[in-house]
Amino acid sequence: MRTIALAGLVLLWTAWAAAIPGPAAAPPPQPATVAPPSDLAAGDTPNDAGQSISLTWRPSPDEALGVEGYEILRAESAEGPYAKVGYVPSGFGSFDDQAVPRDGRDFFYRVRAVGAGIAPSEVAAAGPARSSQQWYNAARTNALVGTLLFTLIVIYFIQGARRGRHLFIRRIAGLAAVEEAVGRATEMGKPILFCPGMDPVTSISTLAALNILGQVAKKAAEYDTPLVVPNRDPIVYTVAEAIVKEAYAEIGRPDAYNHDSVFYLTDSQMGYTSGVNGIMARERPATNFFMGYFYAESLVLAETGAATGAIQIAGTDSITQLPFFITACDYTLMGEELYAASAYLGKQPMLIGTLKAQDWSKALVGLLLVAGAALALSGPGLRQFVLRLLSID
Amino acid sequence: MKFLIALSKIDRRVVYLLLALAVVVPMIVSFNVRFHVDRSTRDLFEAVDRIPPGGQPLMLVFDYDPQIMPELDPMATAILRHCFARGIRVVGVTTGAQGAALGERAMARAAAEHGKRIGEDYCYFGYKLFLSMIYFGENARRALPVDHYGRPFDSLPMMRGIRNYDDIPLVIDLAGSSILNSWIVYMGARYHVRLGAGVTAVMAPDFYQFLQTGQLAGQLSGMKGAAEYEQLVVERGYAPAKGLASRAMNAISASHLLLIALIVMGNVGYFAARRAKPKNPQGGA
Amino acid sequence: MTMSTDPWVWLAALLSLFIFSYLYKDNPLFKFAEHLFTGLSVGYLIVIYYNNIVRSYLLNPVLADHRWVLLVPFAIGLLYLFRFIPKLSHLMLIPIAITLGIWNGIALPLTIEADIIRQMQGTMINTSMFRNPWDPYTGLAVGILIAVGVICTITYFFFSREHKGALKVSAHIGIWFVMIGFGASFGYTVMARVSLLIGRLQFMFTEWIHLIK
Repeated sequence: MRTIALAGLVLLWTAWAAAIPGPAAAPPPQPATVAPPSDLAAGDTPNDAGQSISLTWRPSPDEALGVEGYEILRAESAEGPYAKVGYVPSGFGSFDDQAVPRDGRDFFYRVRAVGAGIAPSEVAAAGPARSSQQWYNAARTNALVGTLLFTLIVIYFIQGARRGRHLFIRRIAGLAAVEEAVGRATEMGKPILFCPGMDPVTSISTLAALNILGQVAKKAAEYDTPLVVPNRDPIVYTVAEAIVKEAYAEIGRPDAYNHDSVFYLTDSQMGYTSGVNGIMARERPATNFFMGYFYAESLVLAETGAATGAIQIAGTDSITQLPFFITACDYTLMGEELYAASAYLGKQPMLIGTLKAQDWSKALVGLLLVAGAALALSGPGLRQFVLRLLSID
Repeated sequence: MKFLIALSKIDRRVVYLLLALAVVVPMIVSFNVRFHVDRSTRDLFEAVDRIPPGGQPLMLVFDYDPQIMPELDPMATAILRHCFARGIRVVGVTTGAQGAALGERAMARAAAEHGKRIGEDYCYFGYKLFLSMIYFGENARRALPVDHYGRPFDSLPMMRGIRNYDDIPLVIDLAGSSILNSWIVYMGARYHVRLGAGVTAVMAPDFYQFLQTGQLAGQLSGMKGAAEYEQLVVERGYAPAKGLASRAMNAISASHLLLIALIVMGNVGYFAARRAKPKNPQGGA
Repeated sequence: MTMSTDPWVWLAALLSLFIFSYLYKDNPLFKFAEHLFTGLSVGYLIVIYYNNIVRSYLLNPVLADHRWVLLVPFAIGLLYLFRFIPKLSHLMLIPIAITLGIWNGIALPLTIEADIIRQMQGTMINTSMFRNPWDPYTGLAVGILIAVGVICTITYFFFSREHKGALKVSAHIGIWFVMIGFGASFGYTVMARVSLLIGRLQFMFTEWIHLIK
């Protein structure tokens, strides 16, 4: 900024000096001579796909005398001819020439300090330098190790769960409420409402919600409590219907399944919301479940439900909507608790294995944080080590 | 006691009415307030201000749709005014189809105000796939073959010499969804793109962590962020008057005061009701 | 007080009023405006997709520049349509597999880099934090707060052990951090929603009824 202003002043001054006819014909102002940049080094840019040569130099010590920037010149032989390939403003001492015509050929570079009021001054040529491409980006080794480690942990636990190894998952507080809530609806002789979220079946939260729906449907079938499942997505609707039917069959009461209990409402977000609000106002369910992914409608749904006096259990990994569910519902499964609840209830090896892998990855991250901080605080050498471990270029 | 309990049971239509008044009255009876400018806003402003005029362009990404326009449109306008007044070139693009018309409108308006010419001082590429914007990191010409109006990349004078993200000193994503996280992950990590952000207030808390690590150069949060940027633009003499967001700040303050009062009243009423009827089985989670 | 003479401004203002009428109760005017919006946005999206995607990335390069190779991904994309033929619907899995494979390949290392490694780096307390201990981004005070918050929150979401002993204390602190975060999020959301209302009213009072200058 300052240099630009300075250069501007110099320009203005020269223009002014030129515009005013002096008493005697003033000689044209002599361009100032400045010391050239020095220590120019050129070499292949590391960890790239080729055709790039990196340059570094020490900026001219006389930058304040009017150096506006540096021109970068390239040639195929040390003698030239040199052609301009780039420009950087003053204050900088590095440039990546990313337009190198070919890998594996020799190139020579010069850097020239330029400015409006100064005579260009060049550093001696550097080179030869060759660009090349690297197959492996060594700067990203830590990301590779992280990826491999995480993948291995996931595979290990899924395989373990498949082979029938017992993998412990703690009981989640909100889940105890599920049974209680179904019981309450039975006592009151009122239906249970279950909303499987607003997302399509491909979303993890919808899958988790459908898993929980299966368990709720089993409880409902056991106690003969009516179940109401309005859907927003046609495919989720089909899957939800199959899951509820299966739950009734598993309990041994396929005949008790009511064909009107699972239905498709509408695809429109607010249309769905007002539809569900209508159901809550008319049928007054004793228990409302809002499981899956929700958007701006979360508060509208949960508030209407609270106004009808229903017990409400929500579960979502939509972080922005969680505060609303927490304030308006009796129990809320937060974020990963939703997946954990679904794995806990569903007992599928894939889900349990993934959950365990996530758990141990989290533990690993926590451990690394503590260990890394301890190392970083214990001395400059170790601090460098930690920074290198985590640095990405 | 009864009065206290009644406080927590105000009819919602009364609340709507009070809120409408709290918003409308300060809008009509306008007075100028100065407010604190957050550091994240200042950082973004400085990042834009450091771009040399007339050189490599800033990229402005309009990743928002009409539903959240009141929060993000003033940001776009303030940033564009800043750039155009300073002579910084701007490339506009969006990765959300609904943002295409909004971006076009914001750019055309700001350009007309400052007498800027399309193709030379600014370009607008409209809706492009996110995948194309990743590919921009490899080859800008192939990623954006034509602009929003069907003009080829090579025919736009200011785009000559733009090879990839290395020639874009700053990308600002104005987003109302998690797409900003994708910009941080794909463009930030893969191509070391210098990123700034403008987000809706709902999303603002989710992105502060990226400011702390430097993955975002700065961030505007909601309408307040837009107003702060407008204030900086006026303070530095880039525009004579503040924009829509600054004028909304009084209404925001008044509505916040009302809501704080309602929350306090609701809680007082809730606890009063609990004391009056100690055997209430239902408690909040 | 004057009013706008632009018919489009009138249309926009009336539709806004139709939507606001929902605040009183659900009614046909609200439904009309809602359906109009849904229909219009679908139509608009089709035009945008055709112009900005199909034409600029497929039709023009193939027809004008003869880049025939682009027909290969186009053909793979067309396999999606087999979803309507039950017998051949498994062919749909090919484009899905390719898309998932490519995205996961790009996403996994970059996500680990941007969302985990960089964030871990930011969470670790280090000696550089002592330089300016009260800085709101890089100071020691904030650094300690973040580190404690992250570790305690992780323990709350740790499902492989019962929350007993030290784990219980840590998880309890964690849930406090989570709740404070939700409080902040709630406050911001309030501002966001009020802003949307203000935005609409600004439009009505500046462009429709010229109440504010």
